Amino acid sequence: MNRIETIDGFRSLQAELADSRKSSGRTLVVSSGTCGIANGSRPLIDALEKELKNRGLADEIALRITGCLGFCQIEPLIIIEPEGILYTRATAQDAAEIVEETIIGKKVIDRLLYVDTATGTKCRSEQDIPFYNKQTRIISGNNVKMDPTRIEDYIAIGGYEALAKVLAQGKPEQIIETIKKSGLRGRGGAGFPAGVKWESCRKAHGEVKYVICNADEGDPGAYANRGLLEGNPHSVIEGMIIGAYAVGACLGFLYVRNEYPLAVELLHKAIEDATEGGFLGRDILGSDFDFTISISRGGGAFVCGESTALMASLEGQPGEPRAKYIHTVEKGAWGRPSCLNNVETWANVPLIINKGIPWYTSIGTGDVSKDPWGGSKGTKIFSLVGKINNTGLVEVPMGISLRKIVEDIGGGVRGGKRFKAIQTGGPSGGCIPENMLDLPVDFDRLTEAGSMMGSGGMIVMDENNCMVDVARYFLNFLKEESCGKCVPCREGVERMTEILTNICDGKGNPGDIELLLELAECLRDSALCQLGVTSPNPVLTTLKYFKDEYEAHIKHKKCPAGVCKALITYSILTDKCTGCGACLKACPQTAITGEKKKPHMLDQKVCIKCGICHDTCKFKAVAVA
Amino acid sequence: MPKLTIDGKPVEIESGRTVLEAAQKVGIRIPTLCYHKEVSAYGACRICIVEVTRGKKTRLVTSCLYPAEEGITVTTNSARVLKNRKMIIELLLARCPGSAVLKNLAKEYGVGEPRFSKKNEKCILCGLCVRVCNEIVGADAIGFGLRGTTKRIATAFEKPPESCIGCGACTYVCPTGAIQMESVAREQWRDKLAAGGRECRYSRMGLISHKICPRSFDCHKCDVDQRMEIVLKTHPILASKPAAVKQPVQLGEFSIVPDLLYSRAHMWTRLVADDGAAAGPSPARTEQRKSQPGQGQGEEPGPAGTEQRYAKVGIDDFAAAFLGEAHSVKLPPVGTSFKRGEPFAEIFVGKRSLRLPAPATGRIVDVNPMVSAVPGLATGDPYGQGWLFIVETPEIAKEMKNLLPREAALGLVRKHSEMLHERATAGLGVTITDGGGNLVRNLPEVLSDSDWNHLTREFFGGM
Repeated sequence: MNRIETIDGFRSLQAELADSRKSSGRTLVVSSGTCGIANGSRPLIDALEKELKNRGLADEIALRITGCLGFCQIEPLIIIEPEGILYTRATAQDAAEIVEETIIGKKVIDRLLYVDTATGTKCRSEQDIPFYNKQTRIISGNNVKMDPTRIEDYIAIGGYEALAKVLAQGKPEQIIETIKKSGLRGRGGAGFPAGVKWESCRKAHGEVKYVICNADEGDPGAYANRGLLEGNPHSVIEGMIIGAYAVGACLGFLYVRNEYPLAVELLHKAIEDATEGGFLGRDILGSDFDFTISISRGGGAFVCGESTALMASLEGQPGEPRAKYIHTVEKGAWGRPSCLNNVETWANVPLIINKGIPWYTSIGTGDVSKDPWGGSKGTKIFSLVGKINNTGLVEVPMGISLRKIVEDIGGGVRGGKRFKAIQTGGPSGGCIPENMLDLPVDFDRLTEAGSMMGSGGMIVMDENNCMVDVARYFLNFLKEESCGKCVPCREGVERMTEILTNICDGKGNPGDIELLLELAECLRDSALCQLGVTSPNPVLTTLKYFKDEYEAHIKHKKCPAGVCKALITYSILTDKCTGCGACLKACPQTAITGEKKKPHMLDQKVCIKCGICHDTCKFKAVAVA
Repeated sequence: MPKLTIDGKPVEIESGRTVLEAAQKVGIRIPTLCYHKEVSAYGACRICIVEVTRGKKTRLVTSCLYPAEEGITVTTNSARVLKNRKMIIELLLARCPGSAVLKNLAKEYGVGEPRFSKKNEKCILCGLCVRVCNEIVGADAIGFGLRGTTKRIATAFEKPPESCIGCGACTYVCPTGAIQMESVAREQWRDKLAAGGRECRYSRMGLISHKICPRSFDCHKCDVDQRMEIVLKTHPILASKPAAVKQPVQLGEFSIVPDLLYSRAHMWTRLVADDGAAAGPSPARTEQRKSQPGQGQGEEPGPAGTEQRYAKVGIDDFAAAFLGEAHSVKLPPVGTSFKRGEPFAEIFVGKRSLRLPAPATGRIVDVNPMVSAVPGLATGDPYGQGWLFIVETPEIAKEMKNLLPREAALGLVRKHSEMLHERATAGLGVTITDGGGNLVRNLPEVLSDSDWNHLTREFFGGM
């Protein structure tokens, strides 16, 4: 693309690209983010390309390769535009049939349609699928419209319009006012009002200022930022350019975890294209504003998602947090004013500029017209994972109830099991029980419930999850990921893990719960960074809502969910056992003996409690207690 | 001077100080472990936590880091503080059950036998040894290894550190006695050096004039060693602070980084390794590398990795302040060769431009892509992200000899600064300093053509 020298030049290019997009004919959309690729999107794309070419349709039918479209478990998705027919889990073997039947024959292939798990009905298009039609996809909804490697696609659907608008106005303070009034709060977890942060950074002294994008998404099970970086990298970049213009920064850093190789590749390409097009670099769109972005890849430490640790890592220092008594907007990376926001926060910015404050504040909770802390506005993307029917990235308006996310969008708990808890906010978040499912999802309500918004992980747990074991899992994760700088976190989290492990191993003592609470209080009060301060959350929320499970472990040496190996025994119910021999064959320890068609026996001394017999038995004759 | 209240006592202290320093000023004792007044505060042990009320908000903070602000109320021994402090002591005592300093703290705060399994470590990972070695000694011989619960004090690659000067400052600041002097280095010296060449370790550190050790490095038998601390009231190296020479020096309004080499035309140079790490990733550099073999210019790569041939170049703070904010920077493309003193980089500010003479003979192998995108960096962050290019110089040692080290560079900047200010008072016809005697930021705009030409020739013409 030629460098765009003026705002008028940009507008005419945008009109031209939008027109040519409208006049384009049928398009075959294939999703190929990390999840799509893992499910075989690349051979599928090759097969489709070959098929179109062989039939002489390559010029007539456009092929658009997009990022993740959210419904990860049924990717790769194929959408045929303009009809909107949606196929799931297509493979290279289906390519010929799709081209033959649907592209040429204009017929729907029934077997590739999505079947709704709840009703069993076949859904023809995105609008018919409950997973999609119950969401509000104002940010992630654009992924389907563009090839992330083509800046032209982004411009054609209104990309960089917000940047042109703010540069034409030339009033950075006005941008800050807009962001403040929109009520946009940081999507990285703590929910600090973005406009307030920007204003402090603008007012901070210093000629060289930085904007930083935190793309070091490290929560287990969370990948909401990845979906955005892979699907629509330019929206994040545009947000950063607008932010830089507002705060007066000349350099931007995109700190992205190296475990996202596709995102890194696409971001490099996007920055290259944006620079070539004149959206980055010197005299952006003919203004006197210079700004450039460089990519920094994280080395895999969870703590580097913490802002000060991230900045230390950016500088080439070990990723350790420091006290924030002097804020990073005053003294951040290299001691200079630095404005750090999460991927999703940056992606919200162009949207707010384009669509305006009234539109944005109409989505969400509370009133932010006077106080930016007064509510939660806009949408939030969550990675909905765990024991749930529909797994994927979901974008919902702030204030939606957890029940709607779990039941309507997620399609309920998998396998008809009973819902037990939903874990939000990553390892430092908390577990919310069933009786609180009507809790509206916003920053303040989640915090009140003892959990937090976090960067958007949501893990659904069912009756077969032991909550003590869950707490132990997260604390162990935090123990592994603690940087080890401050004593409460390094020693305290380790001791909490030790106590929880003991409880799970049947070595719990009376007084353990009190000691856990004491340690938790110390961590909350005196740990250095938020990793330490929030680390007791998994323990505190499970203790608050599932105390009976802890007591069963400690007093009765029982694991009610049947998870903690030291506390359970498997036994064969003689009245139910048909003597089919399935468990006998499956047992890795040969702990099961018995004659055919006669009830089998399990030798407790040999049993390693792997549970394979339980999973193998078709007659529910293996009991766990 | 901010006024605050600590435990009911009013305190007044100069701004920029911490709550801990304010408390010490009025004789209120706050326990510390990872704090030492000679090194930067770290805030890791958390033992010095206090409760601070600022407006309506009360929270626990580490007093070694929290600034002594106007109007705050500090409580050093509230129930909340004590509860946390006791738990921290208990956690540390479980880690290091043998430590005397922790046992004393436990006694003082009534902490009994720890309720956790004991670890029998000696080190509490306060990091004082690391900071003293880096900030005071300047040797960087030790650092932190690993992370989290496995974190420990280590040397690079677990090998005896070459940069260790055997000063013992780390053992001096260690609160738990976890780090001890081994006589390995001294034994090596003893083995290696003839009796006449055995130089006293204090003379090695530059603390005393040349002295030969008469006792085969048995320092504990030596009067000089035994008296050193008594005379200086601290560890000798903490008194002399050899690392201070690496700190940036402020000369009036100009900041000069001492461990760089400077040209007479106000450009700095720093040797860099060829791994590109110092230069950072840059498309130009990669391209250059790819194209080298294909061009077949017959240039042999230098002897494997040992010799440095590359230098990073930028402008110094004097040039940056003189220019104000650069509007554009014109750098020759990668591959350009030039001789020392040849004009080659051009910086534009408004209608003016300044051509800078090359500090060394060589060939450009990389230019800073960020400076071409954001020219203001060259003048806004001259020693950091505003570097200009990397030059390959075959005879680097010879070239570097033509550049000015620390003292000479400081002298040059001092001289030029004085000249500039003299001219301001002698009447250039314009005001070039603001009310406080600092250079105004738009010199290129306010100076007349003849003044501009004269001054730039004076300051940037010489080699």
